[in-house]
Amino acid sequence: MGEPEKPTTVSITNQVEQILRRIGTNSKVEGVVVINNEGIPIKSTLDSTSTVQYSAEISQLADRAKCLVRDLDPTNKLTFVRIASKKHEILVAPDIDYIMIVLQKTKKTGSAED
Amino acid sequence: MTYEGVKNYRAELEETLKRLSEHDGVQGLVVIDKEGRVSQTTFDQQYTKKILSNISGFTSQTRNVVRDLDPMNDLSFVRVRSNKTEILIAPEEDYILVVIQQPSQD
Repeated sequence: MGEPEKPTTVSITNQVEQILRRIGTNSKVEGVVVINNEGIPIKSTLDSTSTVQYSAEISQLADRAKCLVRDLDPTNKLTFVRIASKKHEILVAPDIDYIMIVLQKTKKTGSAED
Repeated sequence: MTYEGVKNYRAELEETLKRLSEHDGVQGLVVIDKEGRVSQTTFDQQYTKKILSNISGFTSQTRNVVRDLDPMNDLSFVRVRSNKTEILIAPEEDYILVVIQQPSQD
């Protein structure tokens, strides 16, 4: 029928595209980056420099957070990381095949509208 | 600071930490001073040690990531959620406050 599916490729289905679009249209969201489990960006709304930067830094940090959680309790598993800084907030949602990173304004820097 | 001042400060600190640790869902807290030593903890020694060795390093790394991404920016708070717990890290100038609680219903 077709070629056997390579285990390392992650296809972005329509449903996923819709979800990414919905997140991206939130007025507080400044950017969305999806990276695969090798730290390579497969989708991004940021410029390429920022995308590469975020991918590299955040994939390492997510790994560290995973270890942190497991070191404190080996039966536990990381589900989410929120890094709040002065200018914005970085939301990191790790999964088996990919990591989703959303950059959003903090409540203080964002506008009054939701 | 006068002796009275220190006593009052200490009492207020203890009261605040007590209030935090007795909050709904909070499993405990640890305060790490700027030398990387534990100054307050409500956990047992073994767990506190684990927290100290893991969280100080993680917090520094997170702070570096924030500054690497934007040198004008600085870390203000970190939340690490997992299936069983949520670790709240408040990094301040002179200390790091770590609170471990049940995952909040966000």
